[in-house]
Amino acid sequence: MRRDAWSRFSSARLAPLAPALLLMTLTFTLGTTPTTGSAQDAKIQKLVFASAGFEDSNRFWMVARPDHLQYDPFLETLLDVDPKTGEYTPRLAEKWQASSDFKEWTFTLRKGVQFHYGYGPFTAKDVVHSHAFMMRPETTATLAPFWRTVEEVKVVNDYQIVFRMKRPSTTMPYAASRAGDLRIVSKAQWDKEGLEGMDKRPAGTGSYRYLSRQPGLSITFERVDNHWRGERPAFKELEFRLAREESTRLAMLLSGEAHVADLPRELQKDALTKGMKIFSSSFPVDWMTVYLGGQYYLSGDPAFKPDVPWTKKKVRQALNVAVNRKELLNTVFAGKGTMTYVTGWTAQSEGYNPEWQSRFDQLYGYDPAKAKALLKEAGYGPGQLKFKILAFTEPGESEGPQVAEALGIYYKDVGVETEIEVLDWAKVRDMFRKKTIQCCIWPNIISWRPAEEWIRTSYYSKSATHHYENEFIDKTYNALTQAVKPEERQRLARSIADHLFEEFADIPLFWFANEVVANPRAVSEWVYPGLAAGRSTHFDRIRPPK
Amino acid sequence: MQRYIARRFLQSLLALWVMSLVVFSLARVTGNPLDVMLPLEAGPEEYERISRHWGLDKPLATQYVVFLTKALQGDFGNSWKWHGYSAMGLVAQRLPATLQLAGFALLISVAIALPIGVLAAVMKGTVWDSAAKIVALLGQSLPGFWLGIVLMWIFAVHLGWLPTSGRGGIQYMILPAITLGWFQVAAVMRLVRSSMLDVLDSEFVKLTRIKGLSEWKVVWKHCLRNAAIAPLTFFAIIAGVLMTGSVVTESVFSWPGTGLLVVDAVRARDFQVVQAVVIVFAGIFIFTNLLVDILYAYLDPRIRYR
Repeated sequence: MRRDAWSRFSSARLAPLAPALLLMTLTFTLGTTPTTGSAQDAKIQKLVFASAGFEDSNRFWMVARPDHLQYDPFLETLLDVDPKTGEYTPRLAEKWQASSDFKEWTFTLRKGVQFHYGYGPFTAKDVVHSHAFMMRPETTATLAPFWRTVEEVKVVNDYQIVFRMKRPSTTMPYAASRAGDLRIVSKAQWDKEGLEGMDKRPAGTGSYRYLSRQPGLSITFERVDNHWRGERPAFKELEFRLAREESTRLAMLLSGEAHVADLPRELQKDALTKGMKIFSSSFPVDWMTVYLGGQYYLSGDPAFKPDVPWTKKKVRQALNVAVNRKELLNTVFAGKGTMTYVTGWTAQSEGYNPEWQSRFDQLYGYDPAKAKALLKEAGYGPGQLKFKILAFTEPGESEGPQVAEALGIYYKDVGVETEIEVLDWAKVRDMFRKKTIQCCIWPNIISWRPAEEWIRTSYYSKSATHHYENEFIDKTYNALTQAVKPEERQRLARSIADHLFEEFADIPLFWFANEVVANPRAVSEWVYPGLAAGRSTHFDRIRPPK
Repeated sequence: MQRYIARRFLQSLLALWVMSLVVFSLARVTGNPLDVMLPLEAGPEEYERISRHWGLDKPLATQYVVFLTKALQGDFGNSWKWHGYSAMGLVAQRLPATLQLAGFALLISVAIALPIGVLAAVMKGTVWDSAAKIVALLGQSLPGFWLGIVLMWIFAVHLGWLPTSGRGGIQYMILPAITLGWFQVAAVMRLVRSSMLDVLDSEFVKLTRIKGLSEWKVVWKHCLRNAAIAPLTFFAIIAGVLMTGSVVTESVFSWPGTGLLVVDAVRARDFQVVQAVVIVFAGIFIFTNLLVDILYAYLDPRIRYR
């Protein structure tokens, strides 16, 4: 009786067809090329950038350099970074000059620049005001330690300002440029609205002005029609839409909801097959190196443990020559990268030595037999050397665990046993900061800095990183901070870098350019240096197809 | 009755206090927030300065007392990740989105599970029943993030019918709500099916058939009404699970709710926001349980004197 009542619905004979129908639908939908939706519009008014996310806040003094992407469209800096040459060029400052002892930096400011929303002209007092944020107790900006070495910011007149430093400073152009983090905001707005105004709608001088922000979700900007330099972005509005999941960002790009997306290398090929285009930075931006924990060679350092295997130079060289860099680059990074000879140094860096390249194969080149022999000489026969490889991922940098796996395989080939442990970045950082990481090695991706900054951050014993420290580096670094003559600085920086090269301080791997994927129907040209804070910058230079 | 309510209320407060202690301790076990927030350039002086500014240099017991004292006044401090926003302000801002999504997911799960459950019971042992079992199996075994991405791929990327992510009109809700509710579809469907099977074999159903009522009326009016009691009791649990279980779905679909908020906060070690979210959810759960207990006591006098 029940069956009778349901006979019109049941159609039991049709039921077996249901899975087949479902399969057909899936095959049809997955087999067809997705449409690119709004990207096909004749003229795109709003450019949407699907970003992996960043620490989003209008308080620039509390945000690290890589997250300055959010300020690039609207908060300008004193100097610019040329997108093609990487050189520092005039921006809000027309000229800049250091005193002979590099303790005073004079900036001549541009006249006739107006802040957004009618907050008046840009003058020297805005620079003093902007710098004052770097001195606040809560400041966590990347270059806060640098800005705190400013003894005084002296206003000469409305359009000239002098930074007097506590010690000689040659990195001022970097710090004051688009690569640094001193964003210029309006004092007039501050006087009128205070912190609340900054949080609500900060006024800048860029070719976009800030419209709104939904914390953790999106930021929207609007084009300024009368920018002081005549920059005229092609898109009326610009939106950064935050999407944590890589697949979601790819879906946004392919469906036309976003026109530009930052995607990990492994998903880029999927986007390319659907007709998307990659826009790379003009310069390499990040490097990957494998650091070896426990290299604390300063005499009397209690954290130094002589039984840590890589305190022996031969072990460090063995761990280097055991790695097939070319294969690793091709398999894990799809061949996208260039060799790093000394961690942190590019051809543009102070102290770069061209000889490294020619000697690299001889000292670091892949040679498992040599690795085994070096290990044997160091007292480690097959199976006698065991250690951990720590792996972690950061948004947009998903290759860490794969590299750790590959290292494990290479080391197994030369008789070294490894155990891979996946940890949170904060845990790893806590370990190397507290010098309790003697057990382990860890691959990490770090972004470009000037050589002096990198030496201080990574190798100077008074920093918090402790990658590799000894008396020679401390002494030479201290001399470098006092040196002002270019040739003397070159010599000192090179001697540190040469030392790291000769000592196999770590396992340098690759340099990577910044890459974003864009819909060619929306973006046909985008030249940006990658060296500027935020990596993907110069939004005013994005050109749509004609 | 009043004594019972007072006792249960005190128990709830105790539970909330224990929860505050647990979330406070666990958040700190995960590591120093400065290791996430400070740049690599930061030296020992920066660590010291920021620790002092945020009160992280004080002993844990002092930090807890400060946290508890402020929390009792509804102040969970300012977010360390979203500068300029209070932790509770962020939770209040995001909670409606989570409630909206959970409500819609509940609606979808009921709308799908109810007819399938009834159908499976009425057509027990047929292909439809087997198909319903497969739906239940898939619902319980498909990971939410996978289902979400597959749905997004089919309906947003390939067909272009729905948006991939974000929050807007009803079209933005469909995919995340199905993803979130799919697991519950299986649970509710199985519950409806078993309840319906019990009712279908009862005497009063036979009587309705003897009286000549149409099978449609027998099933949908008389049987379902009686069979719905068990699933209805389950809905309270589902509603809670949907709210707290939205973390994965909100991340996949960039749905601006508390789930996404807490994921970001955990990644950034933003203790203030993590604490606020967990305490709010614990409060909702504990308060709901308290209400249910009081309701039970009101309906069943034996409970009061236990």
